[in-house]
Amino acid sequence: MKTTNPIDELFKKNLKNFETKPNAAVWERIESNLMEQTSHTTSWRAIAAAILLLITTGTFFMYESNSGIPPEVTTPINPISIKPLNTGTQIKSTIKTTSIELSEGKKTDYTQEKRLMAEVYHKPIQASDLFDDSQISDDINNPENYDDLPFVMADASLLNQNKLSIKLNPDNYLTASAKPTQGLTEYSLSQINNLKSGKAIEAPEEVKSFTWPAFKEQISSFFSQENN
Amino acid sequence: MVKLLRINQDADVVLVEKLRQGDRKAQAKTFEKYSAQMLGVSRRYVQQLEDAEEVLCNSFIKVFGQITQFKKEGDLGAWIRRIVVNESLNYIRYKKNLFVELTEDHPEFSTPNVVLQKYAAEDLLNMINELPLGYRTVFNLFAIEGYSHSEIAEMLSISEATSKSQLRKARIRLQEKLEDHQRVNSI
Repeated sequence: MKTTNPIDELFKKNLKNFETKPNAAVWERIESNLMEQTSHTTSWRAIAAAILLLITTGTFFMYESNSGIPPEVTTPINPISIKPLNTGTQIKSTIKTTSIELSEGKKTDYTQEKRLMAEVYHKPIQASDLFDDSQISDDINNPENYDDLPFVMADASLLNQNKLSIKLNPDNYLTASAKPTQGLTEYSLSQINNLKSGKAIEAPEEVKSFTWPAFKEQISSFFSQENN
Repeated sequence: MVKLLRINQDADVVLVEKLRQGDRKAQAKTFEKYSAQMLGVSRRYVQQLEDAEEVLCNSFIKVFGQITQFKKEGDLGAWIRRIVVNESLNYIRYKKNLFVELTEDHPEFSTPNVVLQKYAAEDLLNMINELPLGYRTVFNLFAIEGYSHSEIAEMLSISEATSKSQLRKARIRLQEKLEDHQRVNSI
């Protein structure tokens, strides 16, 4: 059993609730650390959402241009499903004119990175087509608010430097990372077949990485094959 | 007193709920409320003020990051305090020679009259800070935090016997310091 010792008692009585105010810099350090964590999460998720939107909208525009059927917007929810494409002579030319248009969004500097619209369409569309202010919550620090946003956000400098890599991870989420990757992995044949037949992309055994131009190439060649 | 405590805990329940949502204002409020008390804790373990502030900083980042592990009905202050003690221990664990056995001759400590004096908390804090690391750590955990020797042995990966001997030596050292302090102030 613990016995009370006079020395122990003296120090305990005087120091147990001893308070001393920290330097103001301590909170500043904590706060900047918290901000860093938040912006990491949001930018990562935003880029992932951007890529998903690029794919889904890109697909439905092509689909629309061929069939005239109203597009069905695929939301970035697991699993990813891509609509089957009609074959047609138009597709090839559509692909050839596919371009990436980068234009600055209305709002900038949310997470200290430039917010840009990235569009992969056969024709550039207005930023306002995608960017609906009414759907943006004021609480930009909450990553959950990014999930349903119909806009594209990416860092243009990364796209320009080809440093944006895209991954298809085992959970069937397409994700993007800003790190340059070594070597490119191609879509597997079964994945392409799944894309063609409109099935969801199966989770690969290992994570596949693409750099941005390689990814575009993959998509283009996929549509070209479809056309042959 | 009981009522006051109750109100304080109710306020923390609301605070914790907001912390769970990552509310920045709630985080600032928590820091405002507990930081001085927690720096008082880390300063007993870590000698340099800047180091103690670093421990404080890491502790609060942990508090905000792991708030979901905190049980809502618990005492937030006590939970933060435990994290601060752990972080302080983590900090000093990196120091070498934590438990050096000093082979100095000490008089057996017997005269408790020194403890009847009035001391400023800062003076007592300095005395603790001047102790060798092992003495200081065990004394803090045992005498002030109220951990048992078996708990301390586990926390520091030492034997209970070491914990006991470090405590005994800490007390002797502190008694000498108290006597010195008394002598200086009576001149």
